[in-house]
Formats: sequence, structure tokens, C-alpha cells
Amino acid sequence: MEKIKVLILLLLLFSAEISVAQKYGAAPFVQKGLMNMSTGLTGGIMTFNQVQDIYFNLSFAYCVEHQIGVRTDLEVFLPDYNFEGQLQKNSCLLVGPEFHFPFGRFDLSLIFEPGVAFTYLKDGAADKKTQTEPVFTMSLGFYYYLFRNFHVFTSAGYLHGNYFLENTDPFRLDEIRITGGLGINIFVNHQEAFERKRVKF
Amino acid sequence: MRLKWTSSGVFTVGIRTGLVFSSDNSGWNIGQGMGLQARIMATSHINTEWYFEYFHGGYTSQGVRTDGHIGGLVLLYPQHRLQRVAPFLAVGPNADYLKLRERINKKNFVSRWSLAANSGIGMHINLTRRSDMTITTMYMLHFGQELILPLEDASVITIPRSGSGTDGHFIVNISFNYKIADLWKRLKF
Repeated sequence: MEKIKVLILLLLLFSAEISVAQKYGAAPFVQKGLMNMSTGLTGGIMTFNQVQDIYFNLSFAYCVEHQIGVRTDLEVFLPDYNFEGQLQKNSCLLVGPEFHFPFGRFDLSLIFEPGVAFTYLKDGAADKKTQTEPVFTMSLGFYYYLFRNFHVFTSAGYLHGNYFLENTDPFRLDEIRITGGLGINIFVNHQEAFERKRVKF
Repeated sequence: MRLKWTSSGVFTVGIRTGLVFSSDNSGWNIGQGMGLQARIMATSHINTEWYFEYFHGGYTSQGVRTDGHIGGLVLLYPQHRLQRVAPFLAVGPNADYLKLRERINKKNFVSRWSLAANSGIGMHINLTRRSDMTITTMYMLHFGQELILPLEDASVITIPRSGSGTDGHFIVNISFNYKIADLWKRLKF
């Protein structure tokens, strides 16, 4: 009986989704003024070290133009203290442009984000200070928008950076990162900012 | 955005990432960095750029070099009117912070503040009327004193005084920029 109830609920959910999709047709959902806030988990495989990492991901994006947005990502590193060779700290903050290629409720995006990584390896330095290292990442994102205010997303990208610890060779931060998550989205700024009020300097 | 009279006064903000190539006696060293920038268009042929950037990378097999730059640039556009691809010449002064440390000992370092000047070429790729991607290649020359880092093995790493050949470095930057306002209000957005 429980299974039937769940099935009915799922059917209702999808029928509502299909009706919303028909209402908006094949016109791209992604428009100027779309603001996304997402959360998810990121899995990373370091390319120069035999280490895998997990991050908790928070992202914020805003479409300043119909196909161009500004995006920021905070990736909070979740260390495994029993993992030999893994960094103790490797959270990073990234900011950059996002280029959207929407089709209906689907959206393929190209993300280019420079930023900084806050790194620390216990055996790599005499002091206990976290070091700030510049990094950049290129990713391909894939969104699907549900109803008016929700989306699911996945992205895959490559991060490049070096951590200059107290060693003759740097610890390479290069990593393939795959993210999955969900988020909410709202449309803001329906009017042109400069039509609402002239800026006075 | 409709251009009413001229693009003079357009205020742009952006984020940049780049690579720095500095040479020493053993060859080229590559550093990686990022920064922020803002532009104010002076006339239809002249733009001004104000930036902060930070680079970090190895310098010789025994040193690590950190560069911080705060400066301004004048961008000169030869085109009669800005188009989809707009090449430019760039020249300008900046303040430079340089820190050199030993790879195996973070506490062993020397640093200096100095003035510098850079010049080069670049191009805007105007993605829309309000956003652009810019690629620049420049050479930066520092006007600072010689920097000598003594190492544990009794050898030294030096960055020579300006004009001595290897003091400067090449910088390649990619930036993404967005025009947010018209400061003299000659444009109607």
C-alpha cells in the first residue's frame, strides 16, 4: 500500500513537471536575471598524487546577460585523517564567468574560475600556518531546472595549482573534480537596473 | 546598453588569472596567479585600468618567488570604433612587492617593495556589449635594489638590480570583465 502511495505521489510530481514544461515550451529557461544557489558534494582525484578527496560545495551564480553569468564556488574540504598523504586542509574559493548554452530546461555551461586554495600538509611545513595558493579551474556543468525554482546539477572539471610547502618539489594540487547537487533559483532584476533609477555620483 | 554619445566614463570590473615567466641563469620559471581589476574609459581611444594581482611560483630549483602588483595601465585602441575584437597597446607603472624564500625553509626569506613599469599588447574579445574577455601579454621591469637570499648550503639566489638583464618578467593574463556603470552618464543603459 505504501509503495502505491509513493508511486501516485511520483506520478503527480512528474505530471506537474510536464505541465510546467509545456507552459514554458522549448524556450530556454536560463535568462538574464536568473540567480542560482546550489549545494552539493564534490569528489576529487588528484592527478599527480595517489589521493582522492571529498568536498562540500556551495555555489552562487547570477546571469548578468542571457548567456553569461558570474559564479562563485566555495569548496570546503572534508579531510580523512587516516588517509596517508592527503592534505589536512585544501578548501578553496573560486570566482569567475560562466557561459550558458541552454536548451529548454536543460543547460550546458562552461565555467572558468580562478581562485585561491587554503592548503596545509602536516608533514610539509615546520609551522602550522595554512598557506594561500592561487589556483584556477575549468569545468563543464550540466543543469536541469525543475518547476520554477529548483534545479539539479552535475559538473566535471580540472583544477590546477601548486602548494609550495617546505620541500624541494611543490605538492601539485591538480585534480579532476566531479560535483553533483541541487539548488534553488529565482529570477531577480526583471527591469534593467538603470531604468529603475539613475545612479547619482 | 545604448551608446548615446561616447563610451567615455564606462566603468568596468573584472577578475583575472595569469602566468608569470621569470628567467634566471638556469632557465625560465613559471608562476601562477590571480587578481582583480577595474577600468574607466577616458576617451573612445584611451582606457585606464587599475589592478591588483598576486603570483606564486618556483624560482630556480631552490627558491620560491611571490610577486604582488598594484598598479595602473593606459590602454590605447588604434581602432576607430571598438569592435568585436579590439586590440590595444598597454603601458603603465605599478608598485611591486617581491618575496623570495628558500624552498626547504619558509623562515629563510628576503623581500622588497619597489616601483616597476610594464608594457605590452592585448585584445578584448567583446562577448556582448557589456562583457568582454581580455588577453594581455606584457613585460614588467622592476626598479628595485638587488635581492640576495643566502641558502643553507652556502650558495645564494639573487634577483639583480634593475637594468641588469634578468630582473623583469613576462606576464600573460586572461580576464573577464563586465561594464557596470557610466560614471559621467553619457550612456543610456
